Amino acid sequence: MASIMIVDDSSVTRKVIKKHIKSGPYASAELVEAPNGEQALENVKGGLKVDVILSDWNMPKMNGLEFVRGVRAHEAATGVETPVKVIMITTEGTIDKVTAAMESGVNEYIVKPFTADTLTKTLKKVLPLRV
Amino acid sequence: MEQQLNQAVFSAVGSLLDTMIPVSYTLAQEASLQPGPHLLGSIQVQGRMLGSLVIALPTSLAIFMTARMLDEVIEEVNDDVYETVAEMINIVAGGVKTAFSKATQEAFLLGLPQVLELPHAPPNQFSRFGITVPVSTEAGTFLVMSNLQVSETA
Repeated sequence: MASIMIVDDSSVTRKVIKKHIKSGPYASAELVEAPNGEQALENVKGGLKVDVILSDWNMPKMNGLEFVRGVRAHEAATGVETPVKVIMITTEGTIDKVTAAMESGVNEYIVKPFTADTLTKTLKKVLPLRV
Repeated sequence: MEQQLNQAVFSAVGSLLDTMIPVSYTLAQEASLQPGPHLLGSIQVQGRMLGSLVIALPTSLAIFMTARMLDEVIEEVNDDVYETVAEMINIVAGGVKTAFSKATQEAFLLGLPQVLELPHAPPNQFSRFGITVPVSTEAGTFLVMSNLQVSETA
């Protein structure tokens, strides 16, 4: 079963993402939540393994970019063979922000507001559906 | 500047309502709010542009929109309603930022959204703001206001 971690300080955005996932082809995925990058990174360093991380950018304590850099550094330090796929979901839609995210290890990028269809299509890019 | 800001705000609101909060809407003729309690969401911006963006909704409309977004029955203001208002102004501000930014130069930096509840419609609601965009929906009218200006030190 696929597993997805949702990292966003907005509880309603986490709810919307969960609603979209649970009503689509990834309905059986196991979902984990974190309200900021700091807690999410603690989860990863504590051994939590997920297939995909959906992360906001602007969050208190630790933003999404710092979080992704932390994840990639942890993967490099521990010799992870299959890096987790990261989708950034954010209001930051400028080219320099998207470029910075990609350079930091983000695999896909969704600009808010978004639809269930956009989320599903983006998930399919990084997490092929198992038949 | 005001015309571009007006257009950017309405476009950002439209994108939000076309995707995450399914309600019918139009640009309202009159920038007035109904009496009664309201929620105000605001977000500060700084950088090449300074000021804030504010959304003002009757609590009944905020509850309605939260229920629509989450597909849940919601009867009173709760944390989800506050969070929805925060996310609404966050997304609108993000859309305005993108509209005003150049490829390699951000128009401004976004702060974190704040929400507060008022027992009545905000008084003198337009005096501080350069633009007010009234949006009429099937469940009431809300306003998005902004006093963004180009920073003199930028």
